[in-house]
Amino acid sequence: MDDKQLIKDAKLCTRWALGLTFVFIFAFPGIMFLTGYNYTLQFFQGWTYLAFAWLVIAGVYTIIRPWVEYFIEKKQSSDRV
Amino acid sequence: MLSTTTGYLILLILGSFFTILTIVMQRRRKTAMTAEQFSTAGRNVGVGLASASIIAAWTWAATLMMSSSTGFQYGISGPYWYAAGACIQVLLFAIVAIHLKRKAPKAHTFLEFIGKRFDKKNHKLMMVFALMTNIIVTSMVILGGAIALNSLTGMNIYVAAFLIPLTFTIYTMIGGLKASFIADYLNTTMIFVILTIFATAVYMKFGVTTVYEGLRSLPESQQMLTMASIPGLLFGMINIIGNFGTVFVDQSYWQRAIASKDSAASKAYIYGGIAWFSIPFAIATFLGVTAAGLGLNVGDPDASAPLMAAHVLGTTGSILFLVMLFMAVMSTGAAELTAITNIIVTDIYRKSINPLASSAKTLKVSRLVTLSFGLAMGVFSVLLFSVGIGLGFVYMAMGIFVSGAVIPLTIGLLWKRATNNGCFYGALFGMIFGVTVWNVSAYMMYGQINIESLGQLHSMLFGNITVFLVSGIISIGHALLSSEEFDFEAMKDSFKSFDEEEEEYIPVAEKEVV
Repeated sequence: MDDKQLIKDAKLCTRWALGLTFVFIFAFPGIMFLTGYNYTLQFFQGWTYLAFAWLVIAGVYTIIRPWVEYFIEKKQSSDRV
Repeated sequence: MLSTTTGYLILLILGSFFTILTIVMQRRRKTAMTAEQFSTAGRNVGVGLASASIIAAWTWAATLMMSSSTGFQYGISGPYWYAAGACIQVLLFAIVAIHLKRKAPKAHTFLEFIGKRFDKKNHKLMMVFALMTNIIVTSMVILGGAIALNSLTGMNIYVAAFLIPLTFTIYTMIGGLKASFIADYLNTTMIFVILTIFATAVYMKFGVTTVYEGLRSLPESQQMLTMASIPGLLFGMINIIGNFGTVFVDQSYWQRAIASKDSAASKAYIYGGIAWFSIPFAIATFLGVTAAGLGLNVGDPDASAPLMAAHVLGTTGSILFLVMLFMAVMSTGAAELTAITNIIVTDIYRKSINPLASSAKTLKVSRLVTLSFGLAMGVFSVLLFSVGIGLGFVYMAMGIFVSGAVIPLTIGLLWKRATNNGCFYGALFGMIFGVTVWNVSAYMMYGQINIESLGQLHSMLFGNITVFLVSGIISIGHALLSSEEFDFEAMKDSFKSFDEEEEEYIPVAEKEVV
């Protein structure tokens, strides 16, 4: 992989890493803390659904992606032969 | 409570399964294992496997036990602060991972980079930090597993502490980093599956409304249904600061960057970090917060997760929890073990003892180090237990001891103006001042220095913040005052794989013999 692509990747991942850090640590908790919001039943329901959905999506992604990559790589190597 | 036999059976079945799997994979390999492959997994691991491995390495027994404890104690803010406070380090590590790929493409450890970027004293100091991190983390992980086995099955803690490392030492010794990646993938898969079962069972059995009403009925001072919880926020701050050290100074995370393809290095940490968030967030919400909402009689908050698991699914719940916990212990243990092995082989053995060691010799030494440290880890964890310090204490205090190296290390990689003296004294004084402030604040606020006063949130927080402030001011300040500029491009080609080194050196040695 050439250095230009690595620099491009570095810029992209820096934006993602800093952006997500800002959202996770400052934006969301900051708003919730400053407003002192107390969770209603509906908000709590949404919160638990979020926890569940995040878990399932992350799990499916983590389980499936290595297999997809494995088969793509296998196909590419057999095409080369 | 499960029987002791169940505990032994889980250890035996999982340990044997991964060992047999590694042996089968080794036999199916068409080429012989080299030292380079043992320590870097061929540097061609894709995004999927790398992110699964990052998740596994960062999912400690504490992730499952302590996150639930925060949910039980601080309500909905606990799971959030645990998950967010410990996932941003992995996200931010993506930045340093890709810079390592650019500036030291063939390095084996981050210390090898430090050795070429800085002087000898920095290399030695960072090695102390790195080994301290690996040893404390491994001991904590094993001890966490042993305590859980003891509380759930009645198995003797000392026996468990010696048997747990055996389960991952053997397969790591045979298959190296690649075996660790495969085991990590399977462990992560199991953790996600079991967590989904628990979340579904809690939702089906109790529903959200019951839990919500239960939390509302608790005294308002407990702040269970708001993010504006002061204890939750303090815990979050300690979690954020302390965890930088355990990721950035831990070779096992650098190892995953080194083993990844160039195109995968940064993405794996971003995807891994986002996916990892869901583990403590879900377990602490569904087991910790729910246990508080249902008014479960929990003596020790750290035990809220296994108790809730048993409350929801009975014996099956206890077994599933134990399997999940053990999976977490195994993968972190294996990751730490390969990290320690690589540091000792690359930065001590090949750097100072035998720089001309052949690939076969290096591989032999690597396996010997893996076995020795694997067995020694049991002793370290027992020592930790004998001192009488709790896991929560070590978890929160770790940052004070190891985070001093984070800023010097990061600016050393990202900034050409970082200096030898600034980074060395920044890391060293960061730790010294951090420990001092931690002790002084414990004394001033609670009148004495003991485990209890040192374990208070405020003393921990002041200690953790001081480490970062002092190390940052010294290392960045000195760099700004100095006019030194480091040439990263010139350093890049000085890194060589073990195989390349062998090709270079062995003909020379042979010629000398002739």
